[in-house]
Amino acid sequence: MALQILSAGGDEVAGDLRKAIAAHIDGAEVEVEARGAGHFVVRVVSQAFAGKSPVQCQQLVYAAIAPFMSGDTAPVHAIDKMETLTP
Amino acid sequence: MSLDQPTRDRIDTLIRQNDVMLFMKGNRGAPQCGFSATVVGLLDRLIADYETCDVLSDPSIREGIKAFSSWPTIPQLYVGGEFLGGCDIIQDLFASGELHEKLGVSAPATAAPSITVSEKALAELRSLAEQRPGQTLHLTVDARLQSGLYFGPEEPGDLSVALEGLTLAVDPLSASRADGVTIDVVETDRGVGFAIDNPNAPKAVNQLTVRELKELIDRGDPFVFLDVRTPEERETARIPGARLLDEAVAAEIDALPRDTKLVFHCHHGGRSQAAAEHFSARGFGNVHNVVGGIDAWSVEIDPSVPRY
Repeated sequence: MALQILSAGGDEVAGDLRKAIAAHIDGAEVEVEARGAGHFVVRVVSQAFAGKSPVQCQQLVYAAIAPFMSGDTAPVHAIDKMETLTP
Repeated sequence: MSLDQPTRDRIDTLIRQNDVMLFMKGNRGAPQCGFSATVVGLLDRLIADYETCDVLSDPSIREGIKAFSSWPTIPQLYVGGEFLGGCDIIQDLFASGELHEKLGVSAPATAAPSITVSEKALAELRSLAEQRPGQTLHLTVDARLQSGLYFGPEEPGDLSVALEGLTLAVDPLSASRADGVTIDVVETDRGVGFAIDNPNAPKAVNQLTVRELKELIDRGDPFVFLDVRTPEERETARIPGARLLDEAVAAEIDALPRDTKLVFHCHHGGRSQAAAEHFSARGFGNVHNVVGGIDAWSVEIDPSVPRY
């Protein structure tokens, strides 16, 4: 699995991120855009964000994608922008 | 992402001891990543002093802070022990004015400040403006309350001060620090320059001779007397009544009323001048440095205090 992630291109990683977030946050609508060189833009709409601070919302999303962001060879270098919205 | 207890303790200490603590790549003067640079840029506009920790030079903190905050990216900003977020949240907080509030900075001004320009200065500025068509004169006042004048394009959000035959633009953050500024010209050997006086700027540190210090002590005047040397130097020689300025004492002083009289001494007066300037910049208006330090005290006042 790790090798698959490492060899994946930006769009494939974007797909993996989308799946990981959707699996972690119930009923989330997820959009992930690859910006190249390991940079991504993430937009998540979920009822799970209701009543949470911006930090708490992003922590929820980061918890889902943390495995893609750790280590020197991580496929995700940075999330340039993360939007967390309630429906 | 792993976090062992020693690393957790170190991070915990950093955010407890520093009111504004930024974990970043590189340092304030040389950020090593665009996101860190953005946050440094915003903090620099708002406050003079804050602490940074370069995660690139400390791998255990670099990984540890991610687990500590449940946040996999750098930079990370803590204020008053609270995790405020990474780059994009900090940008949002800056834009909404919440960051100002968290940092105890007055919100950006919405009204133009009151600025007084002498007739001579106005004539000089007008003639400079004539040589720069299409450019606007700007006044800036940074977080250290240092002022500057420059010509450049008008920026959105600038507040305008109408002067006779000239418009002065002030950005909203500067404007909140610029009220009451006076601008005059000074003639020096090298030509004409502008003198900008800001009544909001910290007052200069007063220089106190050891004889004046002795009189203060003898009169029993209330003041806080601080020794900024090392504990080892204090073992060698000390002036009675002076407290070692360690982190705990520094925090204690920071909580005192701003008109408290503070007197700093060191060995020769250099380190104490720097300490005095630090507290002056934090708003203390009655700050004194002992000229010549404990060495002058030994020579002029009390020969029983050993020189070293």
